[in-house]
Amino acid sequence: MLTSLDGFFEGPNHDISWHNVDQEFNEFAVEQTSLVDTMLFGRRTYQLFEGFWPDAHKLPDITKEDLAVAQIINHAKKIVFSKTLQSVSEKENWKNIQLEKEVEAGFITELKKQPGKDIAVFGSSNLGVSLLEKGLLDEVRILLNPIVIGKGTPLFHGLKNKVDFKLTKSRNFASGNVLLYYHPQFKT
Amino acid sequence: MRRIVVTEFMSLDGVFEDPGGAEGFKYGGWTMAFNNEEFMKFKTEELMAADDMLLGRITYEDFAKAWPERSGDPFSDKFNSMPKYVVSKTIKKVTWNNSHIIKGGSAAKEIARLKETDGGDIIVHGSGQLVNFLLELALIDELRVLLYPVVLGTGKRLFAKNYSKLKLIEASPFKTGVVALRYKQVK
Repeated sequence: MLTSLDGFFEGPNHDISWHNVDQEFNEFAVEQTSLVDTMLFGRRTYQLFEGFWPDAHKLPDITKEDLAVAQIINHAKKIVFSKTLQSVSEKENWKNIQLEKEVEAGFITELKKQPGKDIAVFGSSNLGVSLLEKGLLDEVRILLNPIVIGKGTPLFHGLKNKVDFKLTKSRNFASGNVLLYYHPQFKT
Repeated sequence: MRRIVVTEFMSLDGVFEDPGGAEGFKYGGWTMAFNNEEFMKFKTEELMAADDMLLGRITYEDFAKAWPERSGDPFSDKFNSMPKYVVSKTIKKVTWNNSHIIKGGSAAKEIARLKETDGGDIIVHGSGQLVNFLLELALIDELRVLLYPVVLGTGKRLFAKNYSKLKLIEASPFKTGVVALRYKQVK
């Protein structure tokens, strides 16, 4: 999740125009995305991705990093969790999609047992909260932007009880962004 | 020109309420388990570089209750002896040692005047409303945030309604997972 210093991942009206990443991060993103072969989405993030990635290669100013990411996302197994979406459809450069109505612990656990690379959740705040509360989230990566936005939706908005985390890694970028890796700590 | 240094404790979801546990918040004291020798070193260096404290009324009143009873260590002694300026429209009496009132209406002028005097940093702790005021007027020279590895889900947030770009000076993790962040305000 990309967040402001004051802990918001989006401004009012889902505004993410303030999100900032640099070239160094883009190169890092290609590396990271290549470690993943499955992506889980909530409806809103899925629709954002669907609206951009399949045709991204046609953009005149597309970077080579974005081209690489587009390829990976296209081929990855994409699972969308939504009670309201009726269907998801494949199109050119956008294949391998599945729609699920509920976030079921059994389904997710089975998915995790399959051989393969890591499973990524991009954006998708409500889905993230659901996975966190069910103890199914293994790692949270926060890209902290050097900005205070004052209003918006906080990280893990809707979480019923506080969650402690363990910081496992951190990395600073030239843009002033700080990438922080955390493992949720669950009381057993 | 002296620097105004704002120093805050924050959860990953931007909450700054009751980090020490004295204010009766549901998760009060949520920072305590993470404060190790790296934390003490960070806070001590910060305090020793400062000559004055600038606070809003609520934080001032909380500190005025808790700090006078502490003594015998360099940190508490300095906290109690140093000049404190409380910015408030309503406060009439101050009981904590070496306290001075800055009337709400003339805050900008008085703070500018304080910055022109000689001395070390002017340090601001907590003080949500005052910090928003300083942020809006671009008076913050350094913003220090200790980011705790916890999501609270509820609680008062700092920086309500303000928008400001920042420049990162330093980001250093402590062994306990707290990340010490230092920023300049981009004016």
